[in-house]
Amino acid sequence: MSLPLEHDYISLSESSSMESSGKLSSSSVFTDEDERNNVLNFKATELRLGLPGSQSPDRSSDGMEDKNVQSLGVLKNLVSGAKRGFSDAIDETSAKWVFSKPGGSEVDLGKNGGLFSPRGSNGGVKPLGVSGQKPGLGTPAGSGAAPQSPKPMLEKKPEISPSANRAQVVGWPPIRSFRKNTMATNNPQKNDESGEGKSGVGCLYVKVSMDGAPYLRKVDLKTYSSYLELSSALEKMFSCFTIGQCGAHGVPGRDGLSESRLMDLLHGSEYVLTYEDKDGDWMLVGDVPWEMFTESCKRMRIMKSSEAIGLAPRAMEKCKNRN
Amino acid sequence: MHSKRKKELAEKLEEKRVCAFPDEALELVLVNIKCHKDRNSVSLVCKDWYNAEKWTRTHVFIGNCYSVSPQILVRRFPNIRSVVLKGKPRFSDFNLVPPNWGADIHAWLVVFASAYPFLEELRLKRMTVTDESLEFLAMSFPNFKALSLLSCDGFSTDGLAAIATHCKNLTELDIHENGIDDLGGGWLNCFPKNFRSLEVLNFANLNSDVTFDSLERLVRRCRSLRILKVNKNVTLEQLQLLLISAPQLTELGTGSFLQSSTQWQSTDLESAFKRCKHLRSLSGLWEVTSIYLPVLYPCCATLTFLNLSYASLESGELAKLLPNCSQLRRLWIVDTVQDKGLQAVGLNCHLLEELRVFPSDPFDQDILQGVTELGFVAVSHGCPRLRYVLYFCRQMTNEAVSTIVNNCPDFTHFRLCIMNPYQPDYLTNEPMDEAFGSVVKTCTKLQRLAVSGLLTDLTFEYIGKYAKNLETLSVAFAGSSDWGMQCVLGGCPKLRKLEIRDCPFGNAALLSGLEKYESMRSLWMSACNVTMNGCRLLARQMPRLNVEVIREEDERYDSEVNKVYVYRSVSGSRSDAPPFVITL
Repeated sequence: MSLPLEHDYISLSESSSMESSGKLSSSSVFTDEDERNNVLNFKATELRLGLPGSQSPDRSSDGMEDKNVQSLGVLKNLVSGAKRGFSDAIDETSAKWVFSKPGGSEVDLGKNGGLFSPRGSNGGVKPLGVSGQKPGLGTPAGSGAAPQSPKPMLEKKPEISPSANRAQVVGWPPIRSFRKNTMATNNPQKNDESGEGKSGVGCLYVKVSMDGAPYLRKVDLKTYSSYLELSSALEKMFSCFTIGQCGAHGVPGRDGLSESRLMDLLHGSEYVLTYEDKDGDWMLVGDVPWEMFTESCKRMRIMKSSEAIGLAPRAMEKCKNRN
Repeated sequence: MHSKRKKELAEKLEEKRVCAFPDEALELVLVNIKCHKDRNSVSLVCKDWYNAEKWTRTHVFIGNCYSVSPQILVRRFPNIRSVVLKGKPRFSDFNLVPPNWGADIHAWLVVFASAYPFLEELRLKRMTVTDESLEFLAMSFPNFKALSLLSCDGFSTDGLAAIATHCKNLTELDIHENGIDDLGGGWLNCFPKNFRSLEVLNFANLNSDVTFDSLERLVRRCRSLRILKVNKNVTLEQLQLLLISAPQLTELGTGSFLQSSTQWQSTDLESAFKRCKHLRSLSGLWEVTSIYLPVLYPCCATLTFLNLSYASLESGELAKLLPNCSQLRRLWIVDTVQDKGLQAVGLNCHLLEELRVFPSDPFDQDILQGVTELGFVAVSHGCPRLRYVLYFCRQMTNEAVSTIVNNCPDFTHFRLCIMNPYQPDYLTNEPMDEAFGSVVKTCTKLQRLAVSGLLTDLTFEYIGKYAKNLETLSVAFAGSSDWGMQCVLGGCPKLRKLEIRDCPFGNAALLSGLEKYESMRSLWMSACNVTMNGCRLLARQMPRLNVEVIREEDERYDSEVNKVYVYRSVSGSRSDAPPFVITL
């Protein structure tokens, strides 16, 4: 994907975003159905983007989210705005997919139906990052797919606990305040900014998510000394989730970087391993020397290669800038 | 004997009633009946027994402070020495009740001051207590002995200072998990120099430093001290000194279990612990690391309660610790021990009756670090006597729960919290109905149940049909329609407390329990489908119930009801309701 396209994603109006999405779809290998799904998902995620608590890399380490700050954060980073939106998508995806009952997620969606953040426009990249999200969860006003009785709370103002890391329902899970506050201070630093795991011990825990998997894992990067070790470990960890191991799935638009060892090690399947670095950018794993990787990796994501379009050039750009 | 009672008896004698059993003798017998349920039964036998019981009751338990007024209480029981009062609905612990809702102790204290001048014990849960009230308490009751505040709010350490200063006969000061304004540890210095009656001191949840010298001297003076729970700021070195002064302790809450200076030797601590031969309960252990856990091993042999819920242990550390704890009946841990740690529980703690597993990362929805159904199953295999469980997890299966209750059919308290709402059985993708079905079918003694996960009305059909001894039910994000709640209200003969949030239960469900609510302590419904009309109808039909709608500022639609609290009361509606509480 060329840069000009990404600039389009930054525009703030919904219609132009739609246009962008249209452009994106037409230039990809998506089928018609995918196109429709993408548009659907795009719509969904566009609205979802305003969710407070969706982690943005430039958040402060205590994880205290504020809706307004997020929007500002995005506007601040217009150039890499696409990436920001992307990371949001990942968070939303991984956070929300367990809500199989639309009602639950509707609560969250309903909360933010009115909170259209300017980031919504960055949803041009959204179709890339919304795997795992059920189409039924698309609209905030209520999902037609919901078989259960509708909840009036959809129209009510949501109760969002200000102390939660993510968009939370108040008082859930039911933990008493004292314990909440104590564990927050007791717990070792989470790997928000620095990638540090348990303090005092030499570990480097980072979260690894995989599209389509119901939950994340945490790995200690210090226990591996090369990409080879890491990828085989991840493969073992996530093999139970791999839906279908296809043959080599070439992704158009990619250059030589797509032939990274990691791609091969994943049996050329539809998945690629990506990571978010300290700057909040998403890169392909394998681009940089191992030490540099462990120092800058904040978290990883095993994503469908079809969605990784646009990463490769960026990664190259970044490398160039670094060097 | 109370002067009024003497008069009563004298009048009776004059009436020359044929009394086969003299009242004084009856009273001597009744004094020994402590259980308030038994006493309630006694008071129903006949007028004489009612009176005898009335005059001999010294302890009263009031589960809902608004169910009765202090005036009615003192008239009914003139001789009370010890009061337990509970205030706010339980969901206030999770911020669902706005501040300044009520349950203020002060009005009670004023009445007690004149009616019960010899009051000795006050135990409060979820009440609002101000410093003024604490000072009033300290000054009004010369015999006051025991104060326990759990989950209360509204006071500061200044109030504690007043208690320490004025309560010359204090035996118990138990300040636990409160919304307290911690202004400093100076309150501890307020105990008089010759004060030595303390038996219970718990300030584990206060944040500021106390003057260690004062604490040490206090502990040394109070030879009857049996329960000591200090806060995080007390170091290991200081703890050692305390243990040397109080080897008679039966319950210990340590401070920070982390070495602060390099000069100090842990062997001294180990021998200090060894001297505590009567330790039954251990808690605190903030920031404990594996280096210092072994100092505990010698005293673990007698432990029946181990509270590791503030110590984020790993599975290996727990596995090394537990073989020393064969007598454990109650264990509270954090899910950092993971399933492996729970396996160690199952292997070592065969006498275990209570297990609570708290989440270390409750608000991070992504992580599957923590415990799963496997850990729970492992415990159930090794601990057949399990009767109380509180389990926070992120995945569960119907089959696992079925296995668990088959291994442990004696559950009285089953509180399972699958942390992501609406989560189905993660293997079959089905609702968790059968899990809770098996719980209520198998565990006939079940008194308390908290459900979670994806649940349809079927769960509630099971509960209503099988949970004959159920007294407390907590429901969140569950059910498909009114029918679910109707099943519960139509069954569960012993139901006393029902708390519901975020469920699709509406007016039809609410109104199906009309007769039931008078036999219950309370009903809480929030974020359900109940409307003002439904609540008004309920209030109209049942005048002896208080139907209170909590209306918060941002609610726009008058017909909506977000939170309703229904409870029986003999004292009518509240006179102290804040503006956001609408009594219907």
